[in-house]
Amino acid sequence: VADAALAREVDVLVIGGGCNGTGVARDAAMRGLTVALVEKRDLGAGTTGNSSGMIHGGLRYLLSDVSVTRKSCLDSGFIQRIAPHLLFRIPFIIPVLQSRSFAKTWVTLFDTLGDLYDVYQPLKNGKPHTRLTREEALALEPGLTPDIAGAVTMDEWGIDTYRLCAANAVSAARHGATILIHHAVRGFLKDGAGRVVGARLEDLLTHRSFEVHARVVVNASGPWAPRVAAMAGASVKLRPGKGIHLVADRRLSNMGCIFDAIDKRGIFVMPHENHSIIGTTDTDFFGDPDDLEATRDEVEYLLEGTARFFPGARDARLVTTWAGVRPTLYARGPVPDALSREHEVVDHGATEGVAGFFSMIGGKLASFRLFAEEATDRVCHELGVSERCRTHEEPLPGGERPGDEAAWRETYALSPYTARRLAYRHGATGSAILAEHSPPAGKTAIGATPDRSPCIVCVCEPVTDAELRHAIRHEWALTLDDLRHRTRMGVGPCQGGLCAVRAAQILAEERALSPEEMWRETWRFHARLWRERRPVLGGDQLAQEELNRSLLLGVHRMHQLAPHPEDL
Amino acid sequence: VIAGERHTTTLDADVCVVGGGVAGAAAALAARASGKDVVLVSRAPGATALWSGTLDVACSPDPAGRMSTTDAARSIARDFPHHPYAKLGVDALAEAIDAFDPTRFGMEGPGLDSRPLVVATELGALKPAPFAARAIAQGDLRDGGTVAVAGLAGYPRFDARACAGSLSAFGRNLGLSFTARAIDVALPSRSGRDPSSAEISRSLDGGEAMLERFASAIRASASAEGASRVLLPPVLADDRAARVASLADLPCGELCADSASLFGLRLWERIRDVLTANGVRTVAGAASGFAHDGGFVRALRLGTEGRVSANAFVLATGKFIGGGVRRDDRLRETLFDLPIFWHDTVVAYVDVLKLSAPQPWNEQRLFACGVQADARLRPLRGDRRPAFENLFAAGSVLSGYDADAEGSGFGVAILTGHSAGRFAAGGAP
Repeated sequence: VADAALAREVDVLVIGGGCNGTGVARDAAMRGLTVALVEKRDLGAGTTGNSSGMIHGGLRYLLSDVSVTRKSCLDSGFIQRIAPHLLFRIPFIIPVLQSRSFAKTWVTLFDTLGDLYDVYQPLKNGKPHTRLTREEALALEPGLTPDIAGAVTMDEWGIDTYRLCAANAVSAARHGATILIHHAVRGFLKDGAGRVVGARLEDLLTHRSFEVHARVVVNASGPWAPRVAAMAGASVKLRPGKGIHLVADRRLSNMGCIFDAIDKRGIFVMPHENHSIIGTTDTDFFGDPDDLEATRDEVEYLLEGTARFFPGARDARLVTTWAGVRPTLYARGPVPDALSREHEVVDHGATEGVAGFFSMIGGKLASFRLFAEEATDRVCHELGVSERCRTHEEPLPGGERPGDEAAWRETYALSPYTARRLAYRHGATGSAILAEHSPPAGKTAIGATPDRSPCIVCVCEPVTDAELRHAIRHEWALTLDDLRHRTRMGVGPCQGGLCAVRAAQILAEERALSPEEMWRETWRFHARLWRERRPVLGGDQLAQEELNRSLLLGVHRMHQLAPHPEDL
Repeated sequence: VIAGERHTTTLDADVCVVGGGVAGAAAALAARASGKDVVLVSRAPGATALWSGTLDVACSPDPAGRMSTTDAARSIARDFPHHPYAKLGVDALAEAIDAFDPTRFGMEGPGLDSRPLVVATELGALKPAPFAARAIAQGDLRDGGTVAVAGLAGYPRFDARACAGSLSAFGRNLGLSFTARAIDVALPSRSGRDPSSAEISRSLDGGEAMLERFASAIRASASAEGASRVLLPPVLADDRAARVASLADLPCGELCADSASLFGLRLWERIRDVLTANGVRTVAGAASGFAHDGGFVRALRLGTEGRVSANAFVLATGKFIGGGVRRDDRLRETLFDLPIFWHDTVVAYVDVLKLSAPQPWNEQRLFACGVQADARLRPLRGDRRPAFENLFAAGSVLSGYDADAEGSGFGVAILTGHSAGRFAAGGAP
């Protein structure tokens, strides 16, 4: 299918499958342009998926640039309109330590800031802030240290970033776009005048190379943007900042909590899906964005700051880390935290004579839609198209109406939580996922449930085989890592120890993989997750690690039997 | 049972063993065999209760097991001078396993000196084993022929087709001559949607008639494929697997379990039975501390007020699953605060990124570290001297071996447990 669509020139080739790339692909496709999107790993696998996952209103810009706050709140409201199922409310508490000088004054200061922020909260359906006494704060958040003078609350929104990217991509595809994941750009095609007219791509799973011709190329590759631009003979300058999060296996707090780290930077612990995340760092990053790992110092920095306000944080069972790189706009002078989170569309034709090539740099998750709209406006202008943006009006797939949880539970005997989870992740699309569920045609289902109701593959979440098959058939998932991003399979405390092979069996069945390929894929998955969690191996989680290792090596002898993947 | 709970037991013994897994059991039985009065303190089912069904002593470099287990153990002893097999000797290993007597724990197999069994796992892998739970040993694949892998309708957690495909591929690569085919077998009972192996097992509690129906369904599907042997997911008890095989008039084996399984629970129960039958007193409780003087451990504290006094102690508390070793701000042994070694280095404060390799299949120091012991299995302090004259260590709390990579888990547990029990009893190894 992809080959036929790409035999003809497309209007826009988008490079990068994060929120910006999928946002532009959707917007451009909805305006009637022919679009191809190429992503070298998976949708959301770079900066987007490793962000804090917040569709917030930009409280921190209130005092420096109120227009950023207004725009953020407005766009947050739009995102809620198009994907109501995907957003979850995160009330935040900002406690002030009693031992801090002028503690009460600080509470009053945050209270006043809350007053200012409340002006914009209605734009994103946010509730007004409240000021809490010490007793009220401790009643709401018993894990806090008793050494607090008071607190202020505010209201924000969280989102599953991988689902957001997948929903954007599915919408783009419904409007005719071609989505290619696990494809890398190997070079650009130029005409006699030096205009970029396409790219050479390589399928990283088959190592097949081919060309795609495009009238305009949009470089939405985030921290990789300088490298991609260089291939086109253009230049992009960033000041990349590394940020890590620690992931705990359960909720550590009822609300998001913001406090200051040893260097006075703001850090947080917040509920995220079934977990809590502790974040984040912001340090200059000069390394290779393909080779990221949290360090002991980063882990300790976050734990030290969190434990001061949340004494129990050191006992938390940490299951893994996220590490990402912010593609921040270049500036020399400010500390990383003080860098602008603004975004910019660069027309390399206007700035350095590389026509037909645009780069999206900077930006943040909460205003991705707006950034995509601006980039698409520029592309449309270049192509002489006058269609207007509709991405803030038309719902994302699944956002048309809420999922019918009661009917799903009745018809498919789902547990209330399995149904709730499906409704959150897929909205109305859940019905189609359940209805279509079946093994591939021509195969009898040995061991299937008699009535074809889905079974749980990943017990930590829980993820059903129906969701896995849907992600493979309709959301481009080609690897176990892709399935993890689409469904959260393997993200829980067992880190795929109990479900990876079962999921690989389903993947092998759907994609007709040989047993050798299935096991190699299982290794590749375990290798990636292992690398992400190595920096926090400790505490109770080590018992799980010992069990996982004993299953894979001790029971199944996989290191002796199954071929290791060469390309990791 | 937790460390802070009220516990008023006060006991006296010659030997006190801390830890109720295979290593602790081997130590208790060895000390008992030397005529000593033994108390075994056990907190909870640990790694032993997660047993998947084979007694792993040493996996040969050839997973088809054409090398005897003894030779495989000798090659480990040759390659790794810190290994318990090198320190205590492979002859002592054979003696320890004889004394432990796997058959009384429901296992059977050709033993260490012959070609091991080649058994299949639930996910379609193959492994050699000198002994296995009886039902698994029945699934031995050394002889070839057509093997039917039974998928159970109503048990979606087990994918018979994927298992058979994987077994065939691995068997081919290893030069084994069997052929595996998936068959579909109806269960004689319903057990709810998406049941666990334990729930399937319970659903078969319907007596002889139910087993007969199950056996005839197995027989019909297997003969349609011309199979001479059937492999079932691990949902039957040992005796019941034998009964089904006899009713079906076909060899029926079970597959090695992937995770928390009936085999582990059965082994855990059998250990209790064997210990009791041999006069070992077992106490459920968590060791919360100890008393010592003059370089000797005098007593173990249990919970808040309990106490076991003894002349010698065996530490068999396991690694991370058992709770014998923990890493919080540093790596430590949890009961006596003994230093944790990797080879000859104390690694308490080493960055975890340096104790682990970037690829999961590489050597991981984190899982090969533990307490370091002298030739009589007495754990060492940082200055390389025995921490106490009468404290001995056994099983995965010890450093110097990587149980999962080598396939040596129960072999080392039995060897070091048996030896530590003998040392604690004051006898020669």
